[in-house]
This record gives sequence, C-alpha cells and structure tokens, in this order.
Amino acid sequence: MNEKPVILIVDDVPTNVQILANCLKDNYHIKVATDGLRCLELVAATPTPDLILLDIEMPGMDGYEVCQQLKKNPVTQNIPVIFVTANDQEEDEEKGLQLGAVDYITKPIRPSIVVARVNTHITLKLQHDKLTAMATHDQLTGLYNRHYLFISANKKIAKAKRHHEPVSFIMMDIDHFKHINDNYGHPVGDIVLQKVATIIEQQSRSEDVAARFGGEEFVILLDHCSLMDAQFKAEKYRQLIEAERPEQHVVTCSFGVVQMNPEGEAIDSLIKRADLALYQAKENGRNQVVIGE
Amino acid sequence: MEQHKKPESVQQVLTKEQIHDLLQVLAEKLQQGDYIDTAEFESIKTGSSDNGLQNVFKQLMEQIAQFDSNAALKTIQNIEAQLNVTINPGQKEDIK
Ligand SMILES: [Mg+2]
Repeated sequence: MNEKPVILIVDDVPTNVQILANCLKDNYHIKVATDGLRCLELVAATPTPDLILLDIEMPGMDGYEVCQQLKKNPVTQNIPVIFVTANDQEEDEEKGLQLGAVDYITKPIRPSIVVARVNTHITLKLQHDKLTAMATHDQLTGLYNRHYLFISANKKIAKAKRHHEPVSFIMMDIDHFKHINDNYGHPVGDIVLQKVATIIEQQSRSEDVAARFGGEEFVILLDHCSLMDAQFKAEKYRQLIEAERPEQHVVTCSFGVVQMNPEGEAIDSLIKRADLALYQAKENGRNQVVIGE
Repeated sequence: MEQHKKPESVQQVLTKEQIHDLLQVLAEKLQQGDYIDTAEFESIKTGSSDNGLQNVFKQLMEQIAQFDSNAALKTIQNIEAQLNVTINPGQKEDIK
C-alpha cells in the first residue's frame, strides 16, 4: 500500500527528471516516464498517479497529445496535469490550459515553485477524491450508498445484456433491527450495522457493488454471477452473520435473491422482485434465503 | 553523475544472495516505472570483486540514472545469467 500521493514525471531529458524527482521524492511516491507512450502505460497501472508533470517537447507523442489522450479517457481524465516546459509563449500556455491542464510551469525549473504548485494541486486532488468517496459511500458502514448503486447498476446491467452474462441481485435486511436499537441503544445498532457491512465487504469480489440501501437494508449486485451462485453467496452471508454475535447479541438476516432477466431488466424491477423474495423470507420465519420469481 | 567515492576499506563485497535481492528490487521498480534514487543503491557498484561484473553494475546504475529502463532491465538479465540466479521482473504480482 502506498501512503504517499503518487506523482508521475514525464520528460525525455534525464536531467529534468532528476531535478523534479529530487525536489519531490521526500513527500511523494515518484514514477517516471521518458516518453508519451510509457506515460499512458503507467497511468493505466496501479497505483494510479494523483498528478502528472508533463513535458511538451518529446520525441514521438508530444505532451499535448498525451494530455488529450488522458482527458479523453474517463479513467484518467480527472488526474491533474501540470505542463512543465521550455515553451514559454503565451499561446503555448493557452493551448496547454485549454487541453485541460491545471497549471503550466516554464523551464528552467525552479524547485521551490514546482514544489509549491504541486503541493497545491495535490491537496485539491485529494480533497476531490474525498468528496467523491463521500458522495458514493455510506458514512457509517463504508459500503456504497444507494445513489452509487443506481449509477453503477445501469452500466453493469447494460454491459451484461450486451455480453449475455448473468447478473444476480441480493437484497437483505437485518432481522428485528428495531428491537436491537430499542433495547440496546443506537450505538449498539450502529455496531451491528458495521459488523454486517464488514462481512458483506469481506465476502465480496471487487467487481460486486455492495451498498447500504436503507436503514438496516443492504443490497449486492453481482455481475458474472448465476442465480445458484448468488444463492450460495447469500447463504454464506447468512451463516457468517449468524455466527458473528456482535456485542454478544445474536443477529440474523433475511435474504431475497433474484437473477436479471437475460433480455435485460431495469434495476427498479430487480429491486422490486428481490424485495418480494425478502418479504417471503421474513414471512417464512426470517434468518433464511429465498429465491425470487 | 557525481562521483560518490568511498574509501577502499569501506567497500564491501556483496554475497550472491544480497546481489540477487538488490537486483530483484531494481527490476520490480523498473517495471513499475518507480523512480530509483541511485544513491540508495551505491553498494551495488562495488558489490562484486569480479572486475567485469563490477563494470556491468556501474553500467546498470548509469542506465538507471538515465531512466533507460529497457536497457537496465536487459543488463539485469545479463547479470542474472552471469551469476546464474533467477530474477523475475516479469512477475508483477500484487503491488498493493
Ligand atoms: Mg523535452
């Protein structure tokens, strides 16, 4: 795990890279590319850079073109780019900024200026990342929130339909949660929610979308997952949650599991069907998994 | 490149194991595009009592200082062949 923000330095002249790296290496994890193609290659790998210092004049693909490529790609378009260049004409700077760079530094490199500007843009980038995380995640449990579920579900469902891949959906609800809150207090209720969320998180694949849907209700959208596998998964969650005993209390969950209609199906419809199955699980006595129609 | 001259008495010969470990670290960093501070790897320059090998180490550090990753990775492979140790720069496992 890299704790330091990652800065990618792109310049074809080794001396320039050395100067930039020397003034930034103590506070940042530095990556280096000496041409545009290598830059794009490194941007696609993990850890993703938090900032790119980009030279303009380079053999092959120049800095402008690299910047255009970065801004075209949804995965890389939010990485701030600072041009560091000998091109000091007004129109050069204008062009750079129009291409989406956040800043423009002219050579010769003055380390203190570079450090100050880099620090500023890194701070902004990290704040932006934090805000994005807050907008897409549930504060208490750290799982995705409802808002993010809807955004990602539409994309995942469309993709699955195109490639004829199965998508399954689990809706789950903590049994008698009101009883827990009323009898042991909200702090205990919060701990229960967090424990359940942790189990969901630990059992999920990175491509799953596990979200807190409402108060004590969670959903998991599973792509490349058949109904049988989803049922198996839900049963696993059920057993682990029952065994967890947060704060010495027995906590159980009920589950509704459905598979997307292969012809395609809106997320609202998946939710409705899973909710019906979940209702059935509650009716049947709770702490169980029910497959939806 | 500035010269980091060390007195002869401080120079130490590295074991094959130590060289292997250092090369492994360098190869991984090169693959991942990580900046390598050559000052941190000075010991490798004098890491062998073999003159030929010592020159190759110097050449490697020069290539790294010039950010010529491909050449540096080739040099590491050559050293690997000479030392008959296995370096796996291609296995980019978990970087997390
Ligand atoms: Mg240049």
